[in-house]
Amino acid sequence: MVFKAPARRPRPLAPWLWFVALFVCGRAVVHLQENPDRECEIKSAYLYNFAKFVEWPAASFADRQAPLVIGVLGHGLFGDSLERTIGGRTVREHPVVVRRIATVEEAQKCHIVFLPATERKSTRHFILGLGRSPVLTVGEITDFCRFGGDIGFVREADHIRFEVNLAAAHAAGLTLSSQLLQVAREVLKPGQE
Amino acid sequence: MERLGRRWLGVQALALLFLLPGGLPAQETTPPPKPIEVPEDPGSRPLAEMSLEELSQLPVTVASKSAQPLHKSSGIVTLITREEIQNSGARDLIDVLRMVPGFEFGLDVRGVTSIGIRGNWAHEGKVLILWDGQSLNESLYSTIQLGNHYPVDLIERIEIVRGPGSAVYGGMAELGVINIVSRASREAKTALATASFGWMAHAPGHQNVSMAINDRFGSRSLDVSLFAGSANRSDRTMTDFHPGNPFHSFSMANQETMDSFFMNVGFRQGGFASRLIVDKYRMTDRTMYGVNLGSAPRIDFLTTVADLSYTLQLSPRLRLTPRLNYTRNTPWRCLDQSYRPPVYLDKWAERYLSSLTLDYRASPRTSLLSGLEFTKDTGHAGEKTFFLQDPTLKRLSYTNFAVYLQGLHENTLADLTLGARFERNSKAGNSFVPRVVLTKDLGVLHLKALYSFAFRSPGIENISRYSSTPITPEKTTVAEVEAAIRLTQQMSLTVNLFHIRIRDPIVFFFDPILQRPAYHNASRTGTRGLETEFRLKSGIVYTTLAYSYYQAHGNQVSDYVVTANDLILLGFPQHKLTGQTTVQLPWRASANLTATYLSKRYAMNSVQGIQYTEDPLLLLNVFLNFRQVISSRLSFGAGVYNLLGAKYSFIQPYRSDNAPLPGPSREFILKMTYQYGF
Repeated sequence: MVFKAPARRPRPLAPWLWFVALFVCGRAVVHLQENPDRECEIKSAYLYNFAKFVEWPAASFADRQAPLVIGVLGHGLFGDSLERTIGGRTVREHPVVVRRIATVEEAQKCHIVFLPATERKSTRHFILGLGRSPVLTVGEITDFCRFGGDIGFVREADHIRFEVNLAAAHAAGLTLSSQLLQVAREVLKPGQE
Repeated sequence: MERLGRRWLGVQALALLFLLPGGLPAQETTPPPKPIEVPEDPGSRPLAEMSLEELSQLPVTVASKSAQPLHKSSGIVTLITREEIQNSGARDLIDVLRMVPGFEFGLDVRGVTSIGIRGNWAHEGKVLILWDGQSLNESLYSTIQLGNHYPVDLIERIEIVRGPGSAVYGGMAELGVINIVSRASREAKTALATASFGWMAHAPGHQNVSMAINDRFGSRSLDVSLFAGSANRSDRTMTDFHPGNPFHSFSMANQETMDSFFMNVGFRQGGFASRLIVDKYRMTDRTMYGVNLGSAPRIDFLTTVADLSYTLQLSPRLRLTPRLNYTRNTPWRCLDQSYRPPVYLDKWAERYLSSLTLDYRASPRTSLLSGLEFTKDTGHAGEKTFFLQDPTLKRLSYTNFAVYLQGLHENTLADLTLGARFERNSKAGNSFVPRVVLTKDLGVLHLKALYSFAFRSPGIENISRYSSTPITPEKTTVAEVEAAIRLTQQMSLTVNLFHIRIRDPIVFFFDPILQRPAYHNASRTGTRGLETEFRLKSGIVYTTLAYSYYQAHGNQVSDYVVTANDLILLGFPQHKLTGQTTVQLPWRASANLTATYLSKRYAMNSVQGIQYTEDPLLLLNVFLNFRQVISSRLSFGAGVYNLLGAKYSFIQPYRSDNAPLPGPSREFILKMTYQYGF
């Protein structure tokens, strides 16, 4: 036995109408804002805080108003977020400047170098290349501190935390404030890295 | 074997395709995260002005529709991270969810296995599964099917609410919400390919390949995930309850298979977000409704979801998100008409959803989340099937209108969450589910008290296949308390109690008068119990131990009753103990041990009217990971699942005719992951 399907009735459009109207009107009258990448912004704010709690050797700055340079490896979106979040701010009278870098030589002219996870293949090369230069290295890859980096971001549940390799920072001639160390999830001391 | 061999050639071809360069990034279609645990209004205070302590407390993403840190979230929540999944070497979602306190698995019909929560069978419409914000429950029966189904290697994290979520998520979140966030939607400018190969003694095990890639082009992002896989349910022997059946026993090797294809594409530009998911799951099964067949017909589950949303940031405090969603499900499809008894099933369902979500931060301490949802569900019957016992009825439609509101207010005494949802279903009637949550943060000690109403909205076939009276929504009340204490910097302990009462549960049974499977609202059922979790994370060792216990409470559903023991329900063990330990080894290697102990389980042989038991057992798995081997992009893993060869079987948690369905025997696993950042 073959059953004949009833004639198709047109689908009701009414439920969608209010949506379309709202969409069109909303777009017309509302100034739309970009959706921020929250993780990038939180990490950018962290970088700014790190700058406030790290002391560089005096020779690292030409004068009291010399810029504090944060280098970001690669051309990912993090650099944009960093500029948006902390651009134009100062740390102890030093204006913060964000630069995109591609080589170790460029990194050596920075005070902080951020090595994003997207550049994981170059992370170790930069850590080794910077050696004992007074440059704070901040990275995203897993076990960044155990690779010799200074501060590594760690995702813990729904939060961004960080680990500190105190021995590496000391070797680079950097002094890290105890306030920074207190908030760190883990501090690797000499012999632990 | 030949069939699986052909499939495997296809899988290998796909693997090669996946390893080719190309591709693009993504994000969830849920509204962007909204921080709650922030000392001051983040809308008016730049992040750069926050202290390190404040930054460390900021939630990054959304655990539910309203972002909160786990210890303050308005639910009993388990978070499973990508690292935990990778460390364990999990083969599929069953392996992952087995580590969750209170979760266990059971057998439905046609060889489909699914989930139970806190002693209650949650397979049909009691737990909502979301993938990047999209519901994957089918809407004919509201079921989910587990067993080599979803791409476990592409998961960034899983947020599991082990309690009711109906007040915000509606009628499929009565007992829990499983919210999965994919790696592709979270990792910018990354390409990833994975392959896993499993072997049991007499048949191939889980053999899967997957890839994910995302990229950004200015303010646009695109992510693409693909997954294909094939697995044998088991290589053991399946025996039904009918000794006279010529196919009474058969080897499951290459007979009970689970093949899966999953595609997930997301695009985002500014406030606009879209997502397309295609989920195709194919099983072969000879067990059907309890009488083993001579060969294995195919059963298909196909889900397609298309979603569009636009987030309008009206002010720093106010966000509005209109959303459109279309979902088409073709579940349980079997077009083979040659079998007796018949296994033919040809129905599909469509869902149109439009919603509007309003997210308002009234003050630094008060936030509101509200929404309107309009849904139209339509079931379609194929040529030889129909609805409501009416051979001329080929379509069954109903509409659903919902409005919900949830507010959070933080103060020094305790944080208070108040919420409610009202839902009007044109066929099943109205539901109103309020909830109240109190959370208190005392530094090392966090306390929660929750009292929630919840409901299960009947699916299309629940409404169609009613017995004597039309189906109404089942209604649930759940009381929960939780205490979490940080013992040291490295150790924490969480204990929670729950009490679940379900009224008018929708129960599947074989109607002796109508002589067909049907649904009815039974009287009431419920459970109460406790769950506890201990975590240790120090240096090179990461350990999680969990124990869960339930007892039946007020159950009057005869289909769930265990004879001579009214403290336990059919199907699920009263005691469950799980442990996972990962030890970091030199050379970027790690060793992982996972163990699950299940106490005695009861099931019913309805054919002979005999109750039987499954003995307590221990499932032990070991897995070794070697990260960045040969190349910094390449990682390997190897291990053994069910090392002790325990004879675990999936059993029916209600009185029915299916015999225990053997689970996988000892399985050797190899995994490979190639990740490339660009």
